[in-house]
Amino acid sequence: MKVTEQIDAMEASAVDPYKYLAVTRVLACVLMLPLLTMAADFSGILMGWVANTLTEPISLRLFMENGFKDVTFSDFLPPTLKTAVFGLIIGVVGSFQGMRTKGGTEGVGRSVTSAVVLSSLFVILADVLLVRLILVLFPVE
Amino acid sequence: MANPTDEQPIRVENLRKGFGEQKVLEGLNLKVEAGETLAVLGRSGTGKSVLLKLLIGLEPPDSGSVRMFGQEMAGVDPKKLNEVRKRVGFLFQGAALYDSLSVAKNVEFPLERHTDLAPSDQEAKVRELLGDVGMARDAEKMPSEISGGMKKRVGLARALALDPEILLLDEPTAGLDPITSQEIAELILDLKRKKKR
Repeated sequence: MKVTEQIDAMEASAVDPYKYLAVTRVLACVLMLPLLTMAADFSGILMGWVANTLTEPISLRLFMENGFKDVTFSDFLPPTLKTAVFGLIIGVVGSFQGMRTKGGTEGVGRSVTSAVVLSSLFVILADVLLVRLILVLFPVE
Repeated sequence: MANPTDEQPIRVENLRKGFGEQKVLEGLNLKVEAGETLAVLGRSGTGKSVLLKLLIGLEPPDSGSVRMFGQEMAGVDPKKLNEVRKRVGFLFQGAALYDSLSVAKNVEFPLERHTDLAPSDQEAKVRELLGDVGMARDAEKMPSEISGGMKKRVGLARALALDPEILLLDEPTAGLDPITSQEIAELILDLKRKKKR
């Protein structure tokens, strides 16, 4: 949008592009990443059962009972909610890089690459910090 | 007593702008009175588009003053800047239509955000604006489905949506064939005559 002057057009129309474009995208990332994580968790469990059943048939109920025997609240909720922070990072970095894109389609490519690299880096760093925080708040018994 | 220049539509004083080593505008002075039409001519790269972006506050000047309706456009509160922008229509060189919105939604965009018109009145206004630029039949098309000349027409309709007091047109006929260029030029003159009535 930046290289085709659409963001300038928005500003010229007296509309704040940060509110209209960036805030909505950041909120969407914050809300959707935990949901995406839960979808991935569900798929992982289901495919785990399928893989297990292919080698050694087991009922889904038994698989779930055995699998969730020692699972506690702190195993599920904090790690799922921490992905909201990852969503925030992805949304903010993506929007920031998008808003400062320059130099036509080549510039778009550069912005996409730097957005992916930077958000991956920040997600890894945030993960390290959040895991430590979760371990402090929900110590392993 | 109010200064008579306070509401002067455009007043530029000693404006300087450069990008790195390249000086684009050096000590430009300019005054435009209400009802006046001013065309800025020059080779490419001489700063015509930059001047228009400085006027609307999309680019900050290196030094000098840009005033629209008496309001300084550089380094001011965004709210004040937006109040001025609502009084100005801007047609970008490449039309800058929002590619995720239809032709009609592009024109409706400023109306939705800056007017209290009911949705039916907004639709009527959009139809009227698109009719004025000869694009009423293409209202539901996406920008990717229309030609360069049609995009310019839609951009013009969008620029006129809030009944602006100033219309800034950045090379409205650039890149168009001679017939379409002529049509766009006539369209602009027609709109000017209509506004004067």
